[in-house]
Amino acid sequence: MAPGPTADVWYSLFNLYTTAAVAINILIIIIFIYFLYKYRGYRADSSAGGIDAKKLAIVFVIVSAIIFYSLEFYTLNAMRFVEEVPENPDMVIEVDAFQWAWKFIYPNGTESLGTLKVPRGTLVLFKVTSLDVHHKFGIPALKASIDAVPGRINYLWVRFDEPGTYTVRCYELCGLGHANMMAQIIVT
Amino acid sequence: MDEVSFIKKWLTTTNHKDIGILYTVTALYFLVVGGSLAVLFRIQLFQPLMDFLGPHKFNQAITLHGLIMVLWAVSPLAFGLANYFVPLQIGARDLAFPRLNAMSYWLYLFSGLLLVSSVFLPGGGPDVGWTYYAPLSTSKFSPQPGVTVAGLAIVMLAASVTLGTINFIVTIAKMRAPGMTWMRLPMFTWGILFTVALMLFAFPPLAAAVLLLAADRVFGAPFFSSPYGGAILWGHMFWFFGHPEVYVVLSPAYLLMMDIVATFSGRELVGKKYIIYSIFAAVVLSFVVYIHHMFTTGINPLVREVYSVTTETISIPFGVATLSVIATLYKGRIRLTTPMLFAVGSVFLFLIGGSTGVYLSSVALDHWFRGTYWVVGHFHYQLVGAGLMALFAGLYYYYPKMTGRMYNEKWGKIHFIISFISFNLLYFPMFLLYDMPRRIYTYQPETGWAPLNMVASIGGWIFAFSFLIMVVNFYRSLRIGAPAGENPWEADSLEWTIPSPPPEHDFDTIPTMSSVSADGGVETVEHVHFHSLMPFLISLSIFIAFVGLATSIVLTFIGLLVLFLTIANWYRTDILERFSTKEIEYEAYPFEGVVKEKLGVWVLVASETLLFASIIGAYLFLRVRTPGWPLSYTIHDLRIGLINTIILLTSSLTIALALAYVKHGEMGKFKASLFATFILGGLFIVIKGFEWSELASEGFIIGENLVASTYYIATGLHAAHVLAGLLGILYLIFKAYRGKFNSQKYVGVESIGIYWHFVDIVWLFLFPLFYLI
Ligand code: HEM
Ligand SMILES: [Cu+2]
Ligand SMILES: [Cu+2]
Repeated sequence: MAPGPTADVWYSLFNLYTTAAVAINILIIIIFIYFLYKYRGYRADSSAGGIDAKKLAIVFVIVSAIIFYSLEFYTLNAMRFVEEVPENPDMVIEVDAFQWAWKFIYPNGTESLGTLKVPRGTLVLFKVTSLDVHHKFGIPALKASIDAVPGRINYLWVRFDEPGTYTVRCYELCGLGHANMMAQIIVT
Repeated sequence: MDEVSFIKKWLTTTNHKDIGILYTVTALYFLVVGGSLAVLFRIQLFQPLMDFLGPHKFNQAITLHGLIMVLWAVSPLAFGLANYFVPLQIGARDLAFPRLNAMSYWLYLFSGLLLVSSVFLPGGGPDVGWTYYAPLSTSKFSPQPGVTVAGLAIVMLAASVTLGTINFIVTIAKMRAPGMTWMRLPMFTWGILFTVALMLFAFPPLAAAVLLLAADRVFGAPFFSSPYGGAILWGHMFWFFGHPEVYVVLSPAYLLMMDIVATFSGRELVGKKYIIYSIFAAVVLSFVVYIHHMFTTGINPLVREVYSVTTETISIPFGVATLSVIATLYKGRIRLTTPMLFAVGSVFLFLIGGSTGVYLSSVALDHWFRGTYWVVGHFHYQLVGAGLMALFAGLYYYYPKMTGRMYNEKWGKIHFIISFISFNLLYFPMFLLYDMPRRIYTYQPETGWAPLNMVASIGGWIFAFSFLIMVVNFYRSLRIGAPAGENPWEADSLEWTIPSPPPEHDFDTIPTMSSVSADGGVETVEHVHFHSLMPFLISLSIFIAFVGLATSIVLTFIGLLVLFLTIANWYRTDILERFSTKEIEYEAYPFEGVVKEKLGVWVLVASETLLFASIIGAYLFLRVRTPGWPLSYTIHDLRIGLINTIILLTSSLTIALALAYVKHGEMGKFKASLFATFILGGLFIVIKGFEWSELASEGFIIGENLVASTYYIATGLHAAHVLAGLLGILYLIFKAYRGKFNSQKYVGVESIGIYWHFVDIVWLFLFPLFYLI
């Protein structure tokens, strides 16, 4: 059961890329190893390779362009879905990153250091900024993440469909406490 | 060569093969330093909550590891081979400017020592990650001097790289043996050509970024600590360099691998022409993909979509090149020697690294991946797997040529097997750790990351150890290896037509190329190699001066004094023309008419243009974002600006006149024009100084605010270039008075003239930006 739509979208894209990558690489590697094995010490006339390099190059450019740009098509779709800032979120939470902790500010102005409580199924919009250096706000279980940059506000929406405790971590080196810059989101 | 002692020989040599060996050995040394750091931090990561390094030492270790590996180890290793083999491959006897080449090397060595010595400073070395993200790297958050000193080391390295770039471009453009057309160049030489072209455009922005950061740290000039885009500005400046830089590391290795695959497949590379086009496309594209390192900073979505597409596009040319390599195996006569094993191994690893890069080019996936171990896995497959492994292939391939002896084949293969397996043990788990943040010094047991980290650590230690197998093999084979002969691999480029190791002067006669192989040869004048201690002394004195900045200012003065004396001495020997060589006719299409020195200056001007463009770009970036930036004419006296503009324009005229007069042999007027140029340039500096002190007395000082900082940095950097130009003009004046110019001989005037015009043109950009609008 996926914990939220952002994770859903991310994993299906990830699986698509992985399918393509594994299939293509296995094909290439099989040919590669086969050639290495077959022509090992092969003593025939070596100029008789008989490969039309131009044709090969053209075919490859076309085939790979088709593959890459169709992958890109799914990427752009996913990107628009994930990045579109919802017009009326259920809850807007301000996130202030600082060395080395996270402060959450609820819509009513209440501040909380290191823990956030949200009811399950709420559409939460995070307004993320930093009070000092560059950080990156990330929720691994949801595959949702955005930079916390001093002097600017970045938006990130998520929905927690499963109750539980979620970890927040910092994903940009921000000094000595980077490794322990964590917070918890409790979904009830 | 006269009798010189061992030490003196190595300190003073300017021979490309000696410098090549110096580069190679030094790069291997830095590889060991960077590798040892990795062994240490892999101990720290071996288990959850390890208490081995702690955050401060850990952060220093990863930062130095990254800087050393990217800038001081892998790329210089390629340049070691390039120094040795590019002249041989094109049929030249040295690089275009041998003393400049020595200078590149010594600057490189001392910059590396400066970097490493930063750890002994109070507060330790840099600990902000090799990417030096601001504002973490500004003095507010990282006050320790080590961060500044490491920055100075980078600037020093950038100087070394710029000189190297000029040298290789001119050498490859101008010094190819007769008949050595562009398409006949071996892939390795092409790789170096692409690499120096990338460096030419990538390093000036880096130097500019680090200089601005240094100003930020030392004078409190708030560039990257500005709340209005400072952090993002660093991202742009760093990655404009950073992305091309990864190709700088890869390209020589990747193209060298192709030569090796072709040799051991017993046939020519399939579609060489298309590979060259492809890599060229990748080189061009590499300047329009760097935003993929900033996908998550919140910049404009349209920009990200575009850069996502360009990044996916860059995979296509790499795919074409890789496929051609595999096609080359088809119906070949494949010999799986050690170099071939490393070469095909690197192709295999490149496939994995490239595929994982395609994931990263997807904005939607990168949203998550950015900052995780997936990225670490990706770039190590590329830099270490595809890059370093191919350079190991190159070391085994060229060892017989460089030493005249064969290495031990069995141990070579053992090295390959162990390093290939341990490499994958080390880096493959990182893809599976895609939830783990990179650069964390510890993690909790609940994360479940422990087993994969253990595998990676063990793989890492074995990988590090396997390197020693090669070192021992090479060391022992120096004495006991079987004699290699001229061409042990039946390869067909020029370096294999001469004895192993090659004689001091490389070629008895300069070869001429008719079909694919070399034939005949043209008789040439005797070639002499010079010895000069000056490159060493200049680099040493800069090193001392920089160390002084961080420790005691006395050292700085000593350093500057030695620097001054050395340069004065260089002038003296040069004016006496102790180093003159006769020109030989070379293949130079399409640069026939251009003299070496002039081409060199043009390349320098290109690099300087990028330096100023970066500074001006940074200024505009900050200016449009900062609210309430006052209009320029309310601060700066327009009259002073105008006077200085007129002065500089006039000096451009006088130097142009000087050139015209010397061409017509009117020596009196020639000298007078040079003199006038010198006086005008001097006047410019004096007025500038006057203006500065006036502004400073009004409280407009560099650290005051962004308006002041950008003004002082941009005009100060320009003034420094005017001073450099004046040194050049002074040199011309000395030479003119010794009668070294005449209506046939005026390259010096032309070259320095080009530089002078360039400096004036830069002012024409600065003037409106700082005085009018
Ligand atoms: C097949 C083509 C490639 C693609 C599509 C690609 C894509 C990417 C992307 C999108 C990133 C940014 C990841 C992030 O930080 O979120 C990245 C990072 C990186 N790539 Fe590649 N890459 C490719 C080839 C290479 C090659 C050939 C090299 C070097 C030899 C390389 C070295 C790196 C390095 C060093 C980084 C990370 C720098 C850092 O953050 O410290 N990549 N790559
Ligand atoms: Cu952090
Ligand atoms: Cu990149």
